[in-house]
Parts: sequence; structure tokens; C-alpha cells
Amino acid sequence: MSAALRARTADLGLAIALIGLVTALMVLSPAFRDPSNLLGIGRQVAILGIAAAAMTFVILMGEIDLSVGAVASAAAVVTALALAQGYGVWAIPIAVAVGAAFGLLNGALVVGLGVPAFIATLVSFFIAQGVALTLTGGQTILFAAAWFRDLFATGVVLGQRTAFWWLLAVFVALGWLLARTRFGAQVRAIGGDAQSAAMLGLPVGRVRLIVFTMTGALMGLVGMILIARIGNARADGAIGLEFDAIAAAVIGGTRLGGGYGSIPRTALGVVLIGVLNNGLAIMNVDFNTQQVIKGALVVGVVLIDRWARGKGGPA
Amino acid sequence: MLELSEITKTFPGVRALDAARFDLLPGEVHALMGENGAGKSTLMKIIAGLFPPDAGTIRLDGAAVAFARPADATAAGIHTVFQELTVLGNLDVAQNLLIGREPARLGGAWLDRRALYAQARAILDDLGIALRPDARAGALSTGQRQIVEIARAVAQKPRVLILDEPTSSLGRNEEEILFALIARLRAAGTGIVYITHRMSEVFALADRITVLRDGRHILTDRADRLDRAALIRAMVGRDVSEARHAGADAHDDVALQVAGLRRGADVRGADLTLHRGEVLGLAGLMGAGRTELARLIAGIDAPDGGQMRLFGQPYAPRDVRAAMRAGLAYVSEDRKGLGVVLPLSVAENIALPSLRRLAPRGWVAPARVRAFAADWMARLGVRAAAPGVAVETLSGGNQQKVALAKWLATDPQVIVLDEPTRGVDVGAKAEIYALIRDLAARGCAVLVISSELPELLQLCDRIAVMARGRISGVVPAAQASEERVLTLAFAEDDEAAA
Repeated sequence: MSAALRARTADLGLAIALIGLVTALMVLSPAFRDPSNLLGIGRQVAILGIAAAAMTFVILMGEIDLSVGAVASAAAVVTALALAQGYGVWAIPIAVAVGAAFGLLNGALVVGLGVPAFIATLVSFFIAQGVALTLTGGQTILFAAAWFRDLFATGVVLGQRTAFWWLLAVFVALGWLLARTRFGAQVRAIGGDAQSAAMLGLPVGRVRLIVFTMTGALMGLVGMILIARIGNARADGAIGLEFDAIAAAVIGGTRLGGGYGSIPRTALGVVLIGVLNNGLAIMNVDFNTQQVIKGALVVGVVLIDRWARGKGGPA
Repeated sequence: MLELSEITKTFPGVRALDAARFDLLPGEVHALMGENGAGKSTLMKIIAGLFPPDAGTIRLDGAAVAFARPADATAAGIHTVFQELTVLGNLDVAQNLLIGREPARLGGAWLDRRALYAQARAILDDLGIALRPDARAGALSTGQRQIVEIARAVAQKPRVLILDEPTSSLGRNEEEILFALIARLRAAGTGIVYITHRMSEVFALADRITVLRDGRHILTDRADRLDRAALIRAMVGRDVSEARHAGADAHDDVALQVAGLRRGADVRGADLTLHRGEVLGLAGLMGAGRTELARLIAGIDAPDGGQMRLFGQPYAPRDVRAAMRAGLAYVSEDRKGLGVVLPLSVAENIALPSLRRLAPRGWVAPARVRAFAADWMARLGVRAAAPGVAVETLSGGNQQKVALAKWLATDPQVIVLDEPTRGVDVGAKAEIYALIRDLAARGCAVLVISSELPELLQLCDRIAVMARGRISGVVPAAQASEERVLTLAFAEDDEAAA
């Protein structure tokens, strides 16, 4: 089989896996095939989807961000406090600023001090957790702002929750940024070989800084959607999100180590995980078993991806 | 147009350049020559803006300039084709050609893909390069990537073009593309700095030649006023014999027998006999399947069919370890990717394949490793401050010696050397040739792949010529000539065309 054909098959393989999974769940579970449940998946994957799209940029660039869950949690806590104390609309820029500040810290550590991203973002993870725990004192922060909840999660526009529209907006914006802009081309080049990119005169440091900061800012948005859905904030609200985001990006064919990946394929990975989570939960499969199945799925997709690339292709 | 004077650059422990000077006129090819570590690469990188000099001035059209980063040099019209390829394997040819200046609207916020491929197509057509703009660069051969690298620089209409060992990975037809490009640029008034180790190219292309040695300026003169011997003297500071190897006696003891070996479209039924104590050359055009054949012999790839026998025993290595256990070593063409582990020290690199012997119970004694490595460094003349420095800090030629040393240290009975002197200066070349002859004299069977015919003629007992995946002929070196070998290399191409 030719390499190009195999690559097509791999793209198709993911879609076929998704269709197969959806069909199986529709047959097996009447609750799953209920239209309101199917529409609900779009809202459920909003948080994962935004994190995975940002993570695709980071991984594609040859880096990693382990701090996204903790940063989103910290932004959520700060925003809930701001809303509870009557800051009103100001809570929105505050959330984005908190996320962007952590992203900037990641970028500064990586670009300015040459700290490996794995370590730098682990540092941010701990700091963000510390901030969130200190602010909450271990308590759940309650707030009452119906407009805020409607704006970021619970409102309905054209039959879909606002959370879904935020997800769609991020997918479109980031997909366009990656595929159709010079900035996206630079991210891809840096992920291919950062040293070569630097020798070619590309602004490697600036691009890295922007990607980390952008990821942080998007975690501010994730934090807002998180608290808007449930109406309160906890210090550990989004912990673990980093691993789901990495998994979704990798299932979508983003290659750890950099250079390869796309937002539409990550979106496919997100939907696959979303459908799987929803289906397994609705069929009352217990949480631990769900985790095992998710793990097996990641391995399976990686193996198919490697097969599709062929033995002689790049690792 | 470009003038560098009193340039000094010191790296920790090394004075790379010591008050060196260099100048370039519009429309000339100025060859920059010198042994490895003479300071050529450092000088080039200063011109390209990779790092600033410690002292000295750079003048462009009479005005002093200072480049803080590569983009500054590029903006001034100075483009560089680096020896370490900067072609990105995850992008396609068009994206590589136009990287950093992709056609776009709205200040880069809207890439024009159609224009990208149209412009790339135009560049490739204009330069006479037969590559598809949408081919993924990672799937290209080293030579093709080098051509993309050169095309990228040429397409930007440089005022100054720096070419660092541009032909070291090119096949003959790719070389012709390059030489045609150089002729065009020269006619258009571009000044070309040409760094190479190949004498024949220097005299064919260069208008003037500058020689550096130990970071100092030794001479600058017109090429037609210099000859080979004078250049070598200037570079080495001594005379180097270029005498051809006499050709040893016939050997009867077969070390490696290859029969009908096949893999895909690259190796299509190769037959080869390698004797103990013999240096067998493997010549052929780029893409003839030489490296692919070597990889089969080394156990890196598995053949689709055919047999091999090593010292009479059936030999079908599953991997490199199996080949090593059978007594065969392979020194790869791509020393960056496969030959050496760049961040590790010289000592660790040399000891790596011999660890089983050096540390039989798994405990590594650092002193023993250092002594072992120091011994091999001395034998091969590796120029490094200490066995403990990282290989990535060494010059290309010295890295190549380290790659050789680590395999020679395993005491192989059969050794396959793929382009053993690529990017190595004349002095070091002579040393490596002597080493190879010495290995053979001690009974080792040596297979040398090289794209430089004079090298094979000088070094080998016999030369096998490969064409389109098969061995098209074997010639004793004593009766071989460049014409005869080339005829064999092209032989099957003509038949296929007919």
C-alpha cells in the first residue's frame, strides 16, 4: 500500500472508529440514542475540547503543558471569588488574565531560562494549585450570577448550550490560526526542528512565548465554562484535564515530539473521547473500567497511526 | 562588497579565529579552505549572523555592520546554505522553500496556499529542479534535501551566498544543477563564499581562494595562480602524499558473500564478494542503492530476498546487535543521525559499542573508559580538548573520526564504511585512509562506500559499481579509471532507457 494511501486510511480509520463506536452504542443503549443525550455530548466535551485544541499547538511545537488543569482550576476559583464579591463583568478579563499570567510564566521559564517545558509547566501546576487552595481554604466557592452561567455554559442559542458555541469558536479560531496563518506555519516549523527554524531566522522564542500564553488564556476560558456549568468553584475543579487533553490530541494524530498535528483531527479525537465517556457512563460502566478502556483506545490509535505511517517513515 | 578584518572569536578553551580576514567581490566565487577546525565554519557563521565576533569589523559595501541574529544578515541580502541541513522533514517542499516568507494577505493572517504552491513550482522550474512542491521533505534523499536547501537560498536573490560543503551529499546530476545555479548567480553579480574540501571543485569553480589554518589567515590568491600541492601545503603546513594505493595481492579467503539480495525498488538482486584483508569500494550514482545495500548487510533493514554468508556461515542479522555479534560493524553515512550520540562525551561515544567488553559485569569504570577512549583518540588523531567533552562541540571531521573510532574499537572482522571522509579535510583524509589500509593489512575485510571516485581509486583493492539496485561490474583498482567506473555506473540506466 502506498504511503499516501495509508495516511488517508489512518485519517479515515479514526472516523470509521468513531462511526463504529456511535453505531454500537446506539444499538446497545436506548438512553444513548436519545436525541437530547446526543446533543448533550457537544456541551460535555467543551472543556476537554478547548484544552485539547490548545494542547495540540503546544505538542505540535515540540513542547508539553502539564499545567492546564491546575491553571484552569485557579482561574475558576479567582473568577468565582470575583463574581461572589460583585465584580460583575470584570470577572471575565480577570479569568483570562489569570490564565494568561500562568501561561506567560511557562513561556518565560522555557524561553528565557531554557527550562524544559515538562519541568516549567510542572512548576506552574504546583503554583496554580497552591494559589487555588490558598484562596478557597479547601472550601467550595459559591456565586450567584445567572447571566455569567448563561453566557458561558447554560444558555441556549440555536438549540445548543453556549458552552458548545464557545468550543466551536475555539476550534474554528485555532484551526484557522494553525492551518492558514504565517504564525501557524512558524509553529509547525519549530516543531519540526527548532534549531533549523532558528537558523532560518524564524522568531522561535516569540512563537513559543505566544503559544504558552495563549494556552494559559484559553485555560481562563475553560475555568469560566467550568464554574458556569455547575455554579460553584473548587480548587481541584479541572485537575486531570491535562492528561485527557494530551490523550485527545494524540488520538487525533498529534505527534509527541512535534511537527505533526491538526485541529480538525484533534476535534475528532475529542468527539471520540466524549462519545466514549458518555456511552460508558450511560451504560453504567464503572469509572475505573472507563479509564482502562480509554487507555486501551489511546494505545490502539497510536499503533494504527504508526502502521499508517509505514515502517520506513519517520518515527 | 563584503569585507571582514581582524576577526577574532574565542570559544571556551579554543581560539577559533585569530585576527582572520576575508573579502568578497561581486560576481566572484571565493573558496574558503582549511583543515577541520581551521575556523572556516566559525567565520561563515559570523557572516551569517549566528553569533557576533569578539573583535574585528564586518563591512558591507563599505559600511560597518553588526548582525545580532540570522534575520539581520538575511535582511542585508546574505544567505547561507548550512552543512547541517535546515530543511524541515515535517513540511513539504513548497513550505520549506518559502518558509518565513509565505505568500499571505492581511499581514500573515491569511496564507495564500495556491500562491504558495505556484511560487514554489515557479522556483523549481526556473532552477531546473525536478521535485514536486507537495512532496514531503522528510521522504526526500539527503541530496534532494540539499538541493531544496540551496534552492531556498537562491530563490531569495541573495547578494552574498555562503555555501558550506554543498556537494558533500549530492549525486552527480544534482551537482550539475548546483554548478549551473552558481554560474547564473555569478553572472547576476552575487558574491559566493564556497567552502569545500574537494580540490577538483575549487579549481573548477573558484575565482579566488583563501586558506585558513588554526584560525589565522594564511593566504588569499587567484585560483589560476595556485595549484593543488600549494593549497595542500598551505592548509596542512606540510606535504601530504596523494599517491594511489598499489593494490594488494589477491585474497582468496571470502569474508562476506552476498547473493541476489533484494529490498523494494532500491536493491534489486545485488551480488558481492568481500575477501579478508581487502578494501572493496562500492561506487555508484546517488540513488543507485549503495547505502540501502549497506543497511541490509548491517542488519538495519531486512531484505525481501537473497542470501548472505559471513565466513561461510549463513548470515541473516535480525538487527545491528546481531551483526555486531557476528563480527560486522557499519559506520553510517549520516553521522548526526546514526553515527554518534551528540550530547555524550567523546569517551562515552567511543566506548558505547564496546561496553560489553569494557564492563563485563555491568559496572562501568570511568577511568578505564577514559583510558580506552584516549587510546583510540590518539590512534585516529581526534582533536578534542579532553575525552570528556561532548561530541557536538567537535568539528565535522573530528566527529567522523569519533564515529570511526567507536566501531574500530569493537575489533570487527568485517567493517562497512559509508562515506567515511565526508566533510573531512585532506590531512584527516590521509589519516583515515592509512587507518583503513592498516585495518585491511591486519586481516579485516573493509567495504567502503564513497561518492568520490578519486578516493575509491586511491584507497581500494577492487571497486564494485552499483547501478539501479544491482552490481553492474567489479574492477580491480589497478585497472580502474574514473571513466570506466562511471561507464558502469551509468550502464544500466542507458539499457533501461533503450
